[in-house]
Amino acid sequence: MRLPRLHMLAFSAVLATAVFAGCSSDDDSTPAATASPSTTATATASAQTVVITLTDAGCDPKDLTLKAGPVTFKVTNGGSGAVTEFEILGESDKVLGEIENITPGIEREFSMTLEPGSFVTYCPGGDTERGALTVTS
Amino acid sequence: MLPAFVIGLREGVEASLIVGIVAAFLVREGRRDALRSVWLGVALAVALCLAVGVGLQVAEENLPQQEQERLETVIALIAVGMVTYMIVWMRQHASQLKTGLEEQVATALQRRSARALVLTAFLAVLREGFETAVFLLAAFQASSNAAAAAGGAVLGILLAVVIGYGIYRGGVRINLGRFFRITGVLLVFVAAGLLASAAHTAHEAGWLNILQQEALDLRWLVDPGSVRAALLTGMFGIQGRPTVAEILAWLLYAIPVGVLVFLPVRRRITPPRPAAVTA
Repeated sequence: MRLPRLHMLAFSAVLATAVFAGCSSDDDSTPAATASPSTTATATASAQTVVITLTDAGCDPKDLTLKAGPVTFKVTNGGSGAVTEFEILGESDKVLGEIENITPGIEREFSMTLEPGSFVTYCPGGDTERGALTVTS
Repeated sequence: MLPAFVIGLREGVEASLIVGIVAAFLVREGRRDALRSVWLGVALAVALCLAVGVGLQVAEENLPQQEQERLETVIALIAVGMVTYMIVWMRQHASQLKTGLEEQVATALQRRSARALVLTAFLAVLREGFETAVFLLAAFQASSNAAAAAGGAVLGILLAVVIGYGIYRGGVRINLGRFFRITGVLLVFVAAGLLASAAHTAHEAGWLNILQQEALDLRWLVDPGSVRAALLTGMFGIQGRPTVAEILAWLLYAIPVGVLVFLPVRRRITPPRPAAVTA
């Protein structure tokens, strides 16, 4: 076995990188618990449609207050393409609804039914990935 | 253009990587005859995905995201099994190579194994295919910059195909021992990535809701929206902000199987011939 030594080296290098890179990363995405009024969109009536724009900063708006019941999220991209996905997360970050691969120019939508409670809007890759979704009954 | 290009590349490269390796593997194992089935399977998967994409559009339905993620998870797990099989198989044969039995290495794969590999290529395309078809159709109907979105998406997928073809050509040309070694290493990373990616999609499918804390920040390496990120995520399943579950899945596969691949193959220990002991 002559050659494997080199591979072994590369392999352990990758492993080491993967493991040690973890030490310097504690800037966890902070769940935005407080909804500032300026970025809070409120939908009314029974058929709710919410327009979400993905930007490099994250979801816009990132904090939402909606009524329980069916809702349609129309998702577009206003950023450079760093964020291309929008999700609604529930308890322990369970994915309740999501839409992927929204690049600039593309608009796609998805519908779901909201239960009253507190949820998370999630735009992976954004500067602020998480926002608060409050669903009132 | 770039964002659509990046997504096309990311969605396409995983499938083309696996198809390229499977095709090269079959040729190396003297099963060139099975190649036709591979291309047929790939074409079938592409047609199926486009049909579903168009069908959804005509019916004005969305791709059922959760079912899609479930499908991706199941296929990823099957693919991990198949790739592991290839790793083990190549390791055994590499050891034969070393013992100088080069001729015997070319023993044709059994028909069943060849069929399983054809199925793997088919599933690999199917896995990302639905999502990609829907994305491609959306890109062609982009409200603004449609040409850039569609052009980017198509170019991204094309580059992915070229990469897969390059792997196939390269895999066919290099000498067998080297092919086994290089592919063996590559496959460990591919399979570990597939498993991590399965952990990712299993979460999005609603199956895996523990260990979802962010484990590390790899965005310096996998910077969102870049070509490099597309290649790393597509080929090796590495996310910018992997969760504990994804890292665990990756390590739990890569370490034992990596050790298996790098461990010197057991040499047939020929007892030191007692020098001129004979009668």
